[in-house]
Amino acid sequence: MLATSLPIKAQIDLILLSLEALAHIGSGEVLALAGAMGFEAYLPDRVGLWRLRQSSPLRRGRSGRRKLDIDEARALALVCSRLAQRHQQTIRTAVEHWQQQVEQQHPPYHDPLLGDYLDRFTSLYAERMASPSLNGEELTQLGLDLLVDLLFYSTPQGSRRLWMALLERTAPPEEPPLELLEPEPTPQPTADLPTLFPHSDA
Amino acid sequence: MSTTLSYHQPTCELEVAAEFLPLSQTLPRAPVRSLHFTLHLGQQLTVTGNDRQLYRLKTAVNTYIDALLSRRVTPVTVREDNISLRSRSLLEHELHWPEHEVVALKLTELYDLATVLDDWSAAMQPLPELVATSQAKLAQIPIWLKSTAIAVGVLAVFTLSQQWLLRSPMPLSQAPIPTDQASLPSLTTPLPLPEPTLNPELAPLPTTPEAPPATPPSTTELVPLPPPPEMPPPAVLPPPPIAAVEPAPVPDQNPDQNAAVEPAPVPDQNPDQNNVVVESPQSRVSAGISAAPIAPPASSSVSATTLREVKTYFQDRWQPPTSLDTSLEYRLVLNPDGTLAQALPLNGAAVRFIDRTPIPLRESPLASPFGSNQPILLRLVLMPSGTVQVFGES
Repeated sequence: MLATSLPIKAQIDLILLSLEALAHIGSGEVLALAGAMGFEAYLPDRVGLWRLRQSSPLRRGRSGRRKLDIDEARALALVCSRLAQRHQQTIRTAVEHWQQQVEQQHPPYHDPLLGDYLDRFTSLYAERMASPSLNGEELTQLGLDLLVDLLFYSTPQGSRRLWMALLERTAPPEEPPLELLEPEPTPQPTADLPTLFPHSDA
Repeated sequence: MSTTLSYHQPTCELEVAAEFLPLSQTLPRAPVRSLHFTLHLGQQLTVTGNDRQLYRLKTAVNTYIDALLSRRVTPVTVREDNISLRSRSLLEHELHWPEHEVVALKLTELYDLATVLDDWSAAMQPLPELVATSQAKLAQIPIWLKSTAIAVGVLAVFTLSQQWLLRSPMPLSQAPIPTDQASLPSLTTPLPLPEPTLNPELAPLPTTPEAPPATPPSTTELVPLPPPPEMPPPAVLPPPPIAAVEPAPVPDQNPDQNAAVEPAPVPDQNPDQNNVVVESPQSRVSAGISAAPIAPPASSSVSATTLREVKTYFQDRWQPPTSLDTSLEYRLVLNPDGTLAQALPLNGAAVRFIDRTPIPLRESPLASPFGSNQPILLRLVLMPSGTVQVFGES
């Protein structure tokens, strides 16, 4: 799955891309919301937003910023979850259509609403991301995965869920066991010591 | 003191009976405990349970969705105690609720479930958070301002006392001062005074912000509420009067002795909870000082049988969490039929750990019926050592 191990800046850019495709959210709405949330410093204008989004390594050209600092990432993540909450009904409706399609054993893109979303998402992705790109099927799956993400980002605790997902997906795949230095050989009597520290308030 | 909170989503409905703990007027009333809940998941499942089960369900759902969104493993399986969730596909999920058939949840149903649980947990602001915010407000006052306020206060007291001293021997003569430059110059030129006095006075100041109980005197109007929750006074306070006599810190015994003395200073019959919370530490202190003669009538109002039954109930069930390092104190109100009418946490730890205690739901029997036609008040102390103390209040 593509979104599994992407840097935070690429993931946020994809979330905005799917919101753009599904709810026709343009940079104007993103900037207005960022302003209302007090994030003008990070998202001052269209160029600033574009430069932040261009920091995604998936982007074509890479003429934007190379780095996204933690405050910018946080501001963008909060704006994304707020946008998802604002367009919660649209997101939910799209998921319902998808469920119906699966129940009727039809491919998702046969549904007009979903088909429109997936078309837009695919073309926006192809337009902005560098090659080698994903094939059509992978792009459709990515669009649907992002729809599931958006649904949960639109919950009341959506911003927490989004932030956790961003961190989780950028964490190294397996956590190596902590191997510290060999513990110093302890003298025999100390084996009993832990029990001498009862967790009491005496 | 309880109310029903309802949360609705298209495929899910949650109703929670929650208990409120009135706080000071400056803070909003927040439900502190969910007593029991009813959850309808579409036509498939209707379950009821207590607050612990609801917390477990919330934890399970949150963990499950986080795992789903992290996309690390498929299928995702999450188990929280005896509640579990499993994914069949991105759109299909299973909820296993104990003693019920497996419920298949569509993605939108899972979303609705998560939403009502989010809404509920947002409303259930635990008490310590509220206190933390009120303390944060106090903390926002810069230290220099607090220090200055105290310094000014000290200076004012000093100046006034000097004036008073000066005035008594010679009422009118504010003649040039032979020895003390205190009375007049302090108003216009404070410089000569502070040098000898300020340094020794300022030295102890830094300790005041650190010790919460010490701050109220200087900024009383800002903090109506600091004492009740954060501190562990109920556990720590009782010993002092006794500890002065016998310093041996035997934790199980002191509250016992305290029990005989304690009940007197609570005169109210129907417990106003506000009094309960705010007054308890102070009343305990005063009890330690001068309560001996008042005690006997109070303790006689609750029969020994009832006390023993309640104590046995909790002794059989109380298993202190390992993270607990202070005693939990509750006021229990028992109906004449021996059932629980109300349980009020009396210290901060008691609020935080309430769902880990064996305190049953309202209307659950705790003792056999006692003849009286009035409810009785009991004080319950659950100690980290596993010891249980129960004694009567007036």
